Amino acid sequence: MDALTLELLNGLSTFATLGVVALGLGIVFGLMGIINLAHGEFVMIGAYVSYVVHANGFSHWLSVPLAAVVLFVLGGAIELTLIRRIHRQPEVTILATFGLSVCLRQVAELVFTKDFRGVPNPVPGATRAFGVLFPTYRYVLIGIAVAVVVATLLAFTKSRFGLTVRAIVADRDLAEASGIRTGIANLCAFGIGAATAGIAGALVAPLGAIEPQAGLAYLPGAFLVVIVGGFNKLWGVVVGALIVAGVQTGVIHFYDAVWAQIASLGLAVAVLQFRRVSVEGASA
Amino acid sequence: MRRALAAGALAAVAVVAMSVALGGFRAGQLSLFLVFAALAVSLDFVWGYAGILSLGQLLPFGIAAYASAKITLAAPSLSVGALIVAALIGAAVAAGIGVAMLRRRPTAVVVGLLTLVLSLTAEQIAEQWRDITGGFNGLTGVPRIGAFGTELSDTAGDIVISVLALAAITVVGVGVSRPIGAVLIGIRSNERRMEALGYDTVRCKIWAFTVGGAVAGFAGALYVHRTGFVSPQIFGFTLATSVVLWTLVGGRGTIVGPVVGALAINFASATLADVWLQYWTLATGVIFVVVVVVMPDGVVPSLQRLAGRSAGRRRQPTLLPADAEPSGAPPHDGAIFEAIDVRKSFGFFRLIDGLTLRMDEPELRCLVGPNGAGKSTLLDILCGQQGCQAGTVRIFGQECTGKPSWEFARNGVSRKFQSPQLVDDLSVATNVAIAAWGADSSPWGLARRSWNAPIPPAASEILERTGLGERLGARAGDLSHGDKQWLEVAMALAGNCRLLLLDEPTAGMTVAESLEAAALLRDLHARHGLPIVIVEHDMTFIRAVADRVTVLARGAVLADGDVAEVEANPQVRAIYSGVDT
Repeated sequence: MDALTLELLNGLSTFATLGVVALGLGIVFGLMGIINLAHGEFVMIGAYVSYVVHANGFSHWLSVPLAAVVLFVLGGAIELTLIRRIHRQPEVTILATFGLSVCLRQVAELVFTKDFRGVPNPVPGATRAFGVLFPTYRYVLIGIAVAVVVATLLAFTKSRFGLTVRAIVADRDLAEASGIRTGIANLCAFGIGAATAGIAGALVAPLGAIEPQAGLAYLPGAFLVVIVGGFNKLWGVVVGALIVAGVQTGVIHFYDAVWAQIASLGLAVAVLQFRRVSVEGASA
Repeated sequence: MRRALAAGALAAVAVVAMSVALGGFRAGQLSLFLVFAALAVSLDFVWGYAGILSLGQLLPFGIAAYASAKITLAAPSLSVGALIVAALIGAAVAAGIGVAMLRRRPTAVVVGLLTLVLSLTAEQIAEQWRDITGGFNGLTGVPRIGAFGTELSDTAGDIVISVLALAAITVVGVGVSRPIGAVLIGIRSNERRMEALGYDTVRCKIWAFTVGGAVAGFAGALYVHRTGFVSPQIFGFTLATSVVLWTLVGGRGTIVGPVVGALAINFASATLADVWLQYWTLATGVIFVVVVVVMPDGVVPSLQRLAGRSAGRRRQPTLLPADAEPSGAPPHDGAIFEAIDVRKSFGFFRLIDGLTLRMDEPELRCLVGPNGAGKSTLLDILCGQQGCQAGTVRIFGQECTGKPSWEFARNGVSRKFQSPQLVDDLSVATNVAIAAWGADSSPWGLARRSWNAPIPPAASEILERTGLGERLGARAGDLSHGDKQWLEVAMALAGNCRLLLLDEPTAGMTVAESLEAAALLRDLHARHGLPIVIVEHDMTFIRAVADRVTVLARGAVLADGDVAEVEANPQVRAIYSGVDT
C-alpha cells in the first residue's frame, strides 16, 4: 500500500514537472504554430538564473519570479529579432530554433563553463503524509507547478488578453483586419511561453546538476506531452502530461527508464496514427 | 548521368592524389570528412529532393555503425562484407520508420519532431543497453578496413574509405540525374499535383527515405572503420545538428552543396577548434540561424545564381511524339463516369448533398452554378482529391470510391486545377515529361528509364499553338498566368488522359482568348473523342464550347440539358437572379 502511495506521489511529481516544462511549448505551438526546439535551453537558462541567485547569496524563492522575468525578456527579444521573420513557415522555424538552441547552449558554456553547478535544496528533509515519507521540496514543486500551469491556462482562456490571442489563432488575417495588434500579442505569447520555461528551470534546479546541456533532457519529454495532449488545445498540455507521466511512472516501476522512454514514444506514434494533426496551430 | 560519373571519378582522382601528397593526418581528416559528406548527401536526398525533413538521419547511420562494429569485432575478416550489410541495415531501419511514419501523410513538423525524438531516444537506449552496445563508452577497438584477413596501412585505409565515400556520393549523384530526381523534386514542391498525375507519392517518399537510409548506413560503417569506435553520442544532438547544418549551408537539392558544406565546415572546425573551440561552436549556431533566415537555399545554389546559372542547368527531357493516340475513352462497361448519391459535408454544411451525375457518351460538359454549389468539390471527388462520406464513384465502370487520386489518374482521369498547379522549380519540358511518365511509374523504374518522354499529339498541339513549345527550357514558375494555365492543360493531356476535368480554364483570360480556348477544346474533343468536364462561370465561353450543361445548386443537380434549354429554365433563372421560386 505504502509502495503504491509512493509511486503515486512520484507520478504526481513527474506530472507536475512535465506539465510546467511542456506548458510554454504548448502555448507557443498552439497559439503561434511555432515549434520551438530551443525550449529546453530556456529551461536550462532558468536553472542558471537560480544558480546565480544562489551564488549571490539570495533566497532560492527569489529565483522563481526572477527566472520568469529574465526569460520573458529573452523570449521577447528572440521573438522580435528572429521568430517574427519566419512566421508561418513551420519547417524554417524548426531549423532556426534548432540553430538557436546551439547558440544558447554555447553562450551558457562561455559564461558558466561546462562544470556542473548545483543549488542547495531550500527545504531539505521529508514530510510524512499518507503514511509515507516524501521529500518536502517535491511537495512544494508540485504545488507551485500546478499553480503556474492553472494560472497561465486561466489567463489564456478567461482574460481579455487570452481572448485576443485566441482570436489570432482562429483567424490571423481577420484579427489583424479587426484592429488587433497581432505583433504585440505574439510577442507576449512567446515571452510568456519562455517565462514558464524559466519558472520550470528554477523549480527543478535544486533537483539535479545545472550544465549547458541540461535542457536537452527535457526536450523529448516536453514534445511527447504536446503530441499526446493535442496540438491545438491549451488544456491538452495537462492531459498530455498526465498520460505521459502515468505511462513513464508505471513502466519505470515495472521495468526501467529506457522502456519508459520507448513506451512514451510508442504512445506518441500511436496517437499520431489516429489523429490528423494541423500544423497551423489553429483547430482543424 | 555521364556528368555525375565523370565528376565522381575526377573527385576520386583528386582525393587520392591529395591523400598521397598530404599523407598521414590530413589524409585521415579528409577521409572522415568525406564520410560525413556522404551522410550529408544521404540527408540531402531525403530532404532536399524528396522533401522529408528528417532530423534523425543519424538513426540508420548509427545503427549500421553499431552493427558493422559488432560484425567486424566478431569476424575481422568480414569488414568489407560488413559495409554491404550495414547499407542493408540502414535501408531496413529507414524503411521501418518510413512505413510507420509517412503513410499518414504527416506534416514537415511532425516528421521533424518524430525523427528527432527517435534519434535522441536511440542515444538513451544505446547508453543503457550495455550488453549489446557497450553502454556509455560504446564499442572500441574496431579494426580498420581490410579484406581477407589483411588490414591496410593507415593511409591506404584512409584512401580506401575516401574513395568508398565518394562512390556512395556518386551513386546518389547519378540517381538524382535520372528522371526520379525530377520526380522527387516535383513531390517536394507540389505533392498534390504529382498525385493527380498518377504518382503514388507516399510510396515514392518511403522509397527515397529507404535509399537515403541505405546510403547513411553505408556511411555509418565507413565511419566505424575510420574512427575505430562507436558510442551513443553518434545519435546525439550535436551530430544531428551538424548534419543538418552541413546540408543546409551547402545547399539542399544539389549534390555538390552538401559535400562542400560538410568539407568546408569540418575543416574550419578542425582548424579553428584548437584555438577557438567555444567561439567556433557558437559561430556555427549563428551561421545556422543566419543561413536559415537569410539564405534558405544554401551557399552553393546562391553562388550558382550569382554566376547566372539557373535551375535550367538540370538535365532536360527530350519530348518525342507518341506513336499511338491514347486519348479518348478506353473500352468500358457502363458510363464514362458516374457519381451516385454522393454526399460530402464540412461540419454542419452539406456541400454535396445526394448528388447523382453521369456521362454516357464522350461529350463536352459544362458544370455551372452559383458559388458554393459544389462544383469544384465535385471535380475533386471525381479525381480522388477529396473523398466523400457516402455514395459511389465509378470511372469507366470501375469502382473508385475512396481510392487515392493517383489511382484515379492511372484510370485515365486528368485534372486541371483552378489555380495552376505546376512544379515551379522545373522547366516547362520537365513538367510535361513528368506528366507523361506518371501513368506507369515505380521509383525504380524512374531511376532506370531514359529522359525521353512520349507526348501524345493532343498535348503537343497545345504546346505548339500556345507558343510554349519554343520555351521548353523556361522555368515553369516564371511563366505568365495564362501560360501556366495552358501548361497545366498540356500536362493533363500528356499523361494517360481518357477523361479531362478542367476547373475554370479561362479565369483571367480576355474574351478573345477564352473564345480561342473554346475552339481549341472543341477541336480536341472532335478529333480525339475526348470526354471533357469544365467548371465555368463565363456564359460566352460556355455557349461556344458546351454540348451539354449541368447546373448545380446547393450540392445537387438542378437542371441538365443543352445551353438553350438550361438558359430557358425558370429555376436556373431564379437562382441566378436571386428570385425565390
